[in-house]
Formats: sequence, C-alpha cells, structure tokens
Amino acid sequence: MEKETLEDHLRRATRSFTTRLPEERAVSLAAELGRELARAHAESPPRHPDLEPEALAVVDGHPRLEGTTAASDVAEDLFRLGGLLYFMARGERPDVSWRLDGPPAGSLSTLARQAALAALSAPRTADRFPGAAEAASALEATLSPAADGPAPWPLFRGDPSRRGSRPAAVAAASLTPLWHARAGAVTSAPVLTSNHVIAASSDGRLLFVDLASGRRVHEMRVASAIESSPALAGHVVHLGTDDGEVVAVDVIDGVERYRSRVGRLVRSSPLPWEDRIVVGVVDERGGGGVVSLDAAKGKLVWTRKTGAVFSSPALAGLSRTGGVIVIVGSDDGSLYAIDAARGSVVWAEQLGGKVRATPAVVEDVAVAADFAGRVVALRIEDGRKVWTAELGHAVYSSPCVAGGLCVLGCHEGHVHGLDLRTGEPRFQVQTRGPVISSPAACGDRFLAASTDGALYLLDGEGRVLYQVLLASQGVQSSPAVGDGGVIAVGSAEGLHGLRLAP
Amino acid sequence: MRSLQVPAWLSAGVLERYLAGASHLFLLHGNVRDLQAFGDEWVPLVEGLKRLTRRRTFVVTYDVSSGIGFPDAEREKALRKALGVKAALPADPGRALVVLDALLTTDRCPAGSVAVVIDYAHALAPAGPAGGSERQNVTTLARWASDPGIAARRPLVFLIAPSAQEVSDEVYAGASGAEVVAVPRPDLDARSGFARRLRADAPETAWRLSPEELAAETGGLSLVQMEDIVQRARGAAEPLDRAAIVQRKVDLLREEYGDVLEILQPRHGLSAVGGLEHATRELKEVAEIMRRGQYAAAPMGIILMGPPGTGKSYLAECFARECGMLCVRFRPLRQMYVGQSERNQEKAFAAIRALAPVVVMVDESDQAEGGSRDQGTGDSGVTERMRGSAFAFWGDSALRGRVLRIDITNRVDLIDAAMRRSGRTDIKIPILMPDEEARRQIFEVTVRKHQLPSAVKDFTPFARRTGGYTGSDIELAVTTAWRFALRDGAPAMTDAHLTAALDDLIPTARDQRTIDRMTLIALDECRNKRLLPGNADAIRKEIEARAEARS
Repeated sequence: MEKETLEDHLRRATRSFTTRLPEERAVSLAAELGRELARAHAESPPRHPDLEPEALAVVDGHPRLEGTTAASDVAEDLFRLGGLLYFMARGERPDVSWRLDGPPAGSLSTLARQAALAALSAPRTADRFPGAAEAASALEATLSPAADGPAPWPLFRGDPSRRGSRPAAVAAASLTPLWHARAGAVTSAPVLTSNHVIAASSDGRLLFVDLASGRRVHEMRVASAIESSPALAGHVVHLGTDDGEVVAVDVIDGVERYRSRVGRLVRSSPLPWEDRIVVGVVDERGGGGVVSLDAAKGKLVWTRKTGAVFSSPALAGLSRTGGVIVIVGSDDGSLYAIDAARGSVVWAEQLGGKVRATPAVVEDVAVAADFAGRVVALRIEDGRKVWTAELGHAVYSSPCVAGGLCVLGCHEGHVHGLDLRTGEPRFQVQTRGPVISSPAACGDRFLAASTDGALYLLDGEGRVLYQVLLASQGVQSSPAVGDGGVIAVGSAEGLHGLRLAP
Repeated sequence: MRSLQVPAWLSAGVLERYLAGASHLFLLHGNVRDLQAFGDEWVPLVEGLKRLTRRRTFVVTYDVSSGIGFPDAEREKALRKALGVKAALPADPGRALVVLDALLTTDRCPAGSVAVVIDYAHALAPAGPAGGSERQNVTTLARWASDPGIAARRPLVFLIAPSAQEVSDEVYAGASGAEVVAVPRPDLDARSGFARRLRADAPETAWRLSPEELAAETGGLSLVQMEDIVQRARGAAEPLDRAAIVQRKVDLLREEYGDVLEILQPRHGLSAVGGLEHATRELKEVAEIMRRGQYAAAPMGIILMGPPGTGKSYLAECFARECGMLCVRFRPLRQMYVGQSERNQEKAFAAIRALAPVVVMVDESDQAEGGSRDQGTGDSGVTERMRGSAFAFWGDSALRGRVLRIDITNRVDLIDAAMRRSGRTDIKIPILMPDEEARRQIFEVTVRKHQLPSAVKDFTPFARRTGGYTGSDIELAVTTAWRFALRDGAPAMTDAHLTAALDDLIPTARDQRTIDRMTLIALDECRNKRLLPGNADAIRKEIEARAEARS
C-alpha cells in the first residue's frame, strides 16, 4: 500500500508542477473525492474533512478523506471541492474572487465539466449541487461523453421537414412547470440536446441550460441581438444573428468554430444538410435570399437571390429525380423550392403576402402561410396547389402538422386547426394576444404560446385542456418538445421548463 | 481550499444577500480597520475587497482624501473607456460621486461588472445636520441604494465607516438595496489562525505559550492589536508570556473603551468567596457551562440582590474569573447633555458586542438606564428611547452565552419589570446579611485570600460577636488585626489582635428598617428555592419579629 498526500501525488504526477495533470485524471480524482465526501456526510455526526492538498491522503492513487474540520457544511465542502478540482486540473490555486463571481469561464475543456465545476463552486449556496453524491455523479458523467443520446429537438420545428411534432407515449392532459431560468428575454425558439436546452437571448447571448434543473451551464456573447433559432448538427450549433452573421459554436467545449457575414440580418434558422447548412438572409431594402455555407468553416457554397428571407428552409426530397430541395418563403410573396446541392430554383409559387412562416413538409406536400392570411398546401414535386384556406388575418406562426391536422396561429390571436388533407377548418381557439409563436405537437396534443403570456395545451378538437401563464410580458418563442414530455420555451422573462402530464 | 477563504461575516452578511439579489449596497462598520483573512493572507479590509472583486471589469475605490483610485491600470483604462473620460479624475466628493454615479448608471457596463468601494463614508455623508454639498452626497448614495435601475445592473457597492451611527441613516434606512453589516472582532478560530501566523513570523521571540493559548487570552482584541502585542515582545526582546499579554490587553481595551466601560481584572475565583453557599453552588455550575461554550444552556442574565456590603460585586467578579471571560463594568450613562448619553449607550453596546464573550456587570442597576419606567422625566423622550434600545440589546438572544449580564442591586424592585422578566434575566439570587456560620467562613476566607499569617484556630467566637456585621466590615476587621500584629512585630495575627480590631471597629451605621426592607424585597423577587439561602425562613421570621416590636 502506497500512501502520500495529494500535494505529493500531484507533484510526482506533474514533475513538480512543470506539467499539468491530465484533465481526465483531475476530474476522476474529483469524482472519487465527491464519493468520499458523500460517505463522510452520511456518517453520524456528519464529517467535514480538510480539503487541503497537503492534508489529503492518496492511497494507491485513490484519495481518502480522513478527519474533520469544524467550520464547514455540505455546501461549503462542495465549494472547496470545486477549488480542489481547479487546482488539480490547472496547477494553480483558486482565489477569493470565486466567492463573488464563481470559477472563471473556460477553466476546463468541455462545457459539461465547466458546468460541473460551476455547480460545485457556485457563489450562492442555493445554486450548488444538493449533495456530494449528485456532484460525484455529474463529474463521472463528464468522463464518458458518449453517454449522450441523440438530440430530441435539434432544430427549429424539431426536424429538417419542420413539422413541429414529436410522437408521444401517452396523451397529455396538463402541464407542470419544472423551472424558470431568468436569463433575459428569449425571442427565438430553443433547441434540445439530451441534457441541455440551447437558446439565444434577444440581447445576443447563447445560453446553455441544464434540461433537468434549469441551472445555467454556460453562456457566451455571440452578437448584439439574436432572433434566429440555433440549429444543432453533431456537436456544433449554427445560428444567425442580427449583425448579419452566421455563427457556429462547439457545444462540447464552447469554442466558436466560425463566423461568416452573409447579409444585413439573419433571422432564419439554419438547416444542416450533409456537410453544409442552408439559411435565409435579409439584405438592405427588402433584398435577400438563401445561402449555403460549408458547415465546418462557414465558407459560402452557393447563394440565391429571392428577396428577403425570414422563413427557415425545410428539407424535402423529389421522388422523380431523387434530388433534394429546400423549401422556403420570401418577402416577395412566393414560396421557393431550391436545389439543396446547387442552389438553383426548382420551382417558385406565388402566394400573395409575405411568407415569413417556415413551411412544413409532410409526405408529398408542403404547407405554407402568408401575411395575407392564406394557408396553402403545395405539391413538393412541382409546387402545384393542393388546397388553399383563407384565415383572414396575417400569419407569422409556422404551421405544425400532426394527427391529420395543420395547426397555426394568426395575428388576431387565434390558433387555427385545419384538416391536413383538405384545408377545411376544424377548430379555432381565441387567445388574448397575437400568436406569433409556432405551435408544437406531442402526439395528438398541441402546444401553442401567445403574446398574452400563456402556453396552451390543446387536443385535436381544439379544446383547451390546460394553460399556464409563463410571462406577463408575452411569449414569442416557440416550444421545443423533448423526451418524456419535457417542454422548453423562451419568453420575455427567460427560459421555462415544463413537463406534460397525463 | 484555504485560498478560497473569506471572513464569515462577509459570506453570511454580504455575499449571500448580494447573490440572492436582495441588496447591492453594503455599509460595513465596526472592526473595519483590522486585518481580515482573505485567502491565505491577512490583509486590510479594502485590499481584501479588491481581491474579492478581482474579476470585475470595473473596480473603483474612493475616499475623500485620496480621491478616485483603481486596483490597477487596466481598471482605470476600462472606466475611462466606458465613460469617455480623458481628463484627470476629480478628487472632490461632489464631482467624484458624479463619475461613480455615471459608472453605476451607464449601459456600457454589462450587468454584474461594476464594484465600488468607498472608504471613510462618514466623511462623505455624515450623520446629523449636513451642509449643501454633504446633502447632495447623502442623496446620491441614497439613490444608489434604492434605484431599481441601478439594482438591475447588479453592481456591488461598499461603504466603510467606523460606526454606522456616523453615517447619515438616509443612505440606508428604508432603502431596499442597502444593508448595514457589522464587521465583528475576530473570533477564537480567526485569532488561532492568526496567532499561528504570528508565531511563524516571529521565530526568534521566546513563546512561553502556544498560539492557541495566545488566541484564548486575547478575546476582545483585534488582529492588529494581537500583532502589536507580539511585535512589542519582539522589539523588546522579551519573552511572550501570559501575564504580559493580559496586562497589555487590558491597557488596549481601556484605551479603546475606557470612556464607556470599565475593564475589570478579577484576581480571585469563586473559591475565594466566604459563605453564600447557595449562590456559589449555582454560579459554579453556570461558570462551567460558559467555559464549555454550551451557549444554549447559558442564562441571559443574573441578578444579585440584597442589602449593601454583602459582597455582591465581589461575588460577581469572582464569578467572571471562574468563567474565564473578560469582565467589564457598565457605567451609568446619564450625561448632562441629552444625546451624549444616548450616543454613549450605543457606543457601550457596540463595545460589548465587540468584546463578546464577556461578563457585563451593571452595578446599582436601579440607577443606570435612566431608572425605572415609573419615574417620569422631562427629557423629550431620550430616556424612553434609551430604554427601548437597552431592552432590544439585552433581549437579543443571539448574545446568549456570549454576553452575560450581571445586575447588582439593593433595590431590585427599582429595576424595570421588563428587564427582570425571564428571557433577559434567568437567575435571581438574594445575597443577604451573613449569619453566624457564614461570618465564620468570611473570616477564614479573608485570611486565606490575603494570605495573612494567622494563629487564630477557631473563628466561631468572633463570628458570634459580629451579628449585624457585613462581609466588608469583617474584612476590614481582619486586615486591621493584621496591622496590629505587624505593629507588635508578631509573626502571625492572634486572637488578641482580632479582638482588639473588633473592639476598635464601629460597624457601618445602618438603618435596620431599610436593611430589612431590602432583604424582604430580595427574598420576594427570588423565583427558585435552590437559590434561597438555607436560613431564608429564619431571616423572614426575625424581620417580622422586629417589625412587630417596632409597631
């Protein structure tokens, strides 16, 4: 048995601090210390060991916590463990500024590890892990990032066809608020990975929030303002900014991958396709179009002028040629089908008003809506109209298709339900403010948010099953639906987490 | 990690409240000129706050004499850039506050990026009637505390002053974002840590006691004062021992608090008390509780009551010694000028808080605190205010076990009933005229206490002939006897000397009726049988017999 102090152990492992301890090793030592702390806290009376490197014993490479120091508690032990993790990983001691502003950003190489560090050494005790066991689990989880499952809602509207729907195991009848992250106004729709909510704040910050707890994991300033929803492709998130740029950020380490200026404004949400992204652009004086960038470096692949594009491109396949197209609306009043590979226009169909809503693709039709209040279903193959419905009021909200219905909101405050085959009206629900947000479906239930500040849960007949007031200042962001009926949505007062319940 | 350490008052009083979004302006007062533990080092408060705010983009310090300052050139550049200031920064309070105000209200600083530290805040916004420019300062600071627009930007503002009373209360009273935080004297843990550092720094000095013992002996002192004690020993190349420390400590405390508190140095413990068995038994038990620091079991206050000359003050001092706590006498604070006494009372209370753990003797407490409620005075409510503040202070259960009040009185009925009720006073012990057995013990203890050589075998006959004598009478008789012995050149005091001394002594003239009345009051006030002297019933009967004889 080999026994030494942690300080000696580090000295040996880092050749007297001339090299750094590998971060993996530091995190794994910290996780072991977390387990040891949990054991010490479970004793009666609870033990609060000395967490100084020169006092800590390491036996055969594993830390042992012995003895007790009087002036501590669980939260304080976690704070010190965070400091110890930093010391092991960085080779320098933390300082008292942590007590006010927490651990410095970028202390550890991945966002997950940085998040664990931030939750260990949060200046406010209420923001720390509830106990040492939870801290140990979180640290252990960062050692095997492969555990992350596929992202349940990686894009605006949930998937490349922009249907805004997810299947559900059980029919929901109510909504339970889980958390509220006061992160400033969020206009754009959030996206979901298996563990995190990624959202852009209206004042230009990219936010990473823990899906289960609502705790802010990371945030970074990306632009002066953002209305574009982020789009996740692999471990890179792409989004447009009001500075006219497309920015990509690695969600594992939080490092910016590229930043490309493509126009005056980018409000459209990027569509990842193969090793590229496709996104709408707004230029000066109503101009604009669609551009495709290479997803690794942000280099321009093609560009197509169509007039200003606020709408986000939807992906569709042509059965005749086997080609792939993106369908997108434009302020010139048309819906465009553009060859995803070359950027050539396959067809264009005039609707009338500006088309800012994102079209939804389902089987062989695309459903689109315009500012004149017209909802149209067109054949993907050639753009021929299948049906047209007149709502009478401008539509910004993108249609959601599920359960044989097409559901969307209008500026008059209605949520409309239309028959997907015929366009016949099935229901109409009145809210107290314009519905700019795009509805989402979980199975055959629909979630619609209104600028009256509430989130409504509707069934297929348009009955309001449940409603929750999220923010008195209103909701413009669209809900994202995760696994197990978890919902995330932005509002003028931050981000909200809810769960659908039977 | 010691490098993450900040003072406990800062985490609990400031950081938790700031981080919860409750407050952003903190008036720090009390022990603000001391060293504080920030990380591995002990540094002055302002330096510590600079370290705390090290990661903020905008950190500005200000005081009236040195003007606007920055921790480093980078912070100065940041402020100049954000505010577009190229010229020299103003030093006069009015214009300097305008600069700081701009920093707190500008949109160019992101939320949570600004920290401001203003030292000598009492020079900027003094309490009491203020002139034009001071008024303006007060208003500016008050706005910082209460403006929701400033609160939303999450700045952290510190005002530092020796006493909160010296800063205009408009700054913090009623302001939603302001908080007054008392910086306490260092506790035992802090002193121990600092003592270890001092020891490491002064290896050549002969330490006759361990750092932990130094910490234990320096209760009530600041770290700066502890350092001063060690530096003196080092400078004089003298060993550092307990006696020197205690003497220096009392000198320092007298210098600091002498105008409002008398610092006592009791020399004897409870074993030097004769008679009064019912009282010493109880007080030994309490002393044991205090020594062990079992604060929950400690009483808030003790009243020793009974006729004059029965050894109440002496008993209280011996008790303080037995507890191992610092002992101070709280002086009656009525001054000629209204306001002066009020300020002195506040100063005394602040001192007591700072000195805790401490035994506070309030002698003849029926005279202190403006007397009883029933004695109306025409002093425009000052007495009433002082009473209220005294009740609040003595009733503060946070002080339980840390501040032990001992009232010494011969007319317990004159102490305000509100002060006598349990919660402020838990133990009430009657201290009465000694009976024969008690007088015998007093003779013995006096001889032992003064270490007088004595050939007297049995004090019983002397005890018998001294009926009606108080303890102090007896003590005087014994010391006189020793003088007679010295005059005779005798090696020890004999029965003859003591007889001569008693023949010579005229006992203190007393009105028996008054003594009887005081005795009855004390007996009636007592609430516990265990605290009554064993002969209480006999005493009562005697008094009744005398009263009957008189009528």
